[in-house]
Amino acid sequence: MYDEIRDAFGQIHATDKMKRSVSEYLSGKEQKTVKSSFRFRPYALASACALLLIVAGVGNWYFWEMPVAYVSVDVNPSVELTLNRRNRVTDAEGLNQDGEAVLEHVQLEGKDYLEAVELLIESDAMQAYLVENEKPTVTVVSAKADELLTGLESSIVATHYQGMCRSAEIETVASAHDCGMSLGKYQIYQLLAEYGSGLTTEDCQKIPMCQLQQLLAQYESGREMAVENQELDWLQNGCAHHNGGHHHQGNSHHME
Amino acid sequence: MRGEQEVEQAIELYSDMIRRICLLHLNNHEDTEDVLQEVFLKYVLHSVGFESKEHEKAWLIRVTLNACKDLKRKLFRHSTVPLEVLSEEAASVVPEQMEILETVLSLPAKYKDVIYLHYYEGYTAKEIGTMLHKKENTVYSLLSRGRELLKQKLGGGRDV
Repeated sequence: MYDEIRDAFGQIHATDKMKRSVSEYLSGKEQKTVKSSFRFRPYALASACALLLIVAGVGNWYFWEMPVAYVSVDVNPSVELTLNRRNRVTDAEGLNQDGEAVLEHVQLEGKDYLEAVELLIESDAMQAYLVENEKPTVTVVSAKADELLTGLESSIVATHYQGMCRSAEIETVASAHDCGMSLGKYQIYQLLAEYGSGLTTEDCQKIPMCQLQQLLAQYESGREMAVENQELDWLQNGCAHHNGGHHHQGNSHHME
Repeated sequence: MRGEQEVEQAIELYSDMIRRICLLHLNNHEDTEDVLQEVFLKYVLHSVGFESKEHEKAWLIRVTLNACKDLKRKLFRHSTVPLEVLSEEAASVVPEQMEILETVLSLPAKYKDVIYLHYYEGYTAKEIGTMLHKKENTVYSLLSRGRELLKQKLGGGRDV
């Protein structure tokens, strides 16, 4: 069967038309970059078509499935919720191993975003990480971010756990996904990059959220020195107040 | 920004792989073309050098999977796999292989990636875990369950 699967997939090739369309697209892109700042977006036409379909009556998906907002929750587990137009969760994804482990214990799809965030934070799995004054960071990307943030700031995230609630630009969603990072972590990576920390996205993926926040606080307090290799190893090892024993990005973490 | 020759070489080298990954997630050739364009545009603009060809390939796999996922998020796509996606191959692929392809494509999404990456690309569970940001044990479980489903769908007698 091993060989059969390999042989079967070996029959699949990109067609000449596909390769040609890539080359033509890229050369067109190059010309457009030179001539003007206008950017052709391949999904724009498709989005317009989808809009027409919605107007024509296929509105169910528009209200119930279409992703219009993202909410990421970072403690060390990083979890990202996709919301529909009615602020209900259509997808919940673990963006690191700890995040995946937490989601094995809690069902969030279909719930209102506030209920979902509170369920997530209050779950036994997440509580294992919310020790020693650990604070959750909730990051929102939405056209109505203010409305979502107002809700979050009056939820247990802020009132009980003193968590940080903030918004990010919609443009960061694709960049964060390409790096396999949550919106919250990616935003901290961007801030650290602006301060000249020298950390790459790969570095930040391996550093627990608490260490990233502490590092950011140092830069905000005037630190100028970039992160050296030795410090990077230490940062990746876990949070200082946990003596490196609780948070891990790269190793298995068993909640049971 | 990468040179034209380097990009053309990458298109020749990796288009087949990207097409196969798209096959796992997308329903038609237009979507596949969109993802191919998106992935190679990111490749052109990716300013950081790759440590090796393996690193480059793993990066492209990750970017392709994300592009498929983002496209599915942006637009309504049917979750089933119509034959249209295999229409180009229908004439050239023998029926037994077509059956295997269709069976793999009919698996739930979470199994398809690991089955493809392990059986076709030859990655280990540990390598797949790193690539997909999953625990090695999770990958083993997905492979094991995916194999079971394949056995059931293909008639049980086969040794997967």
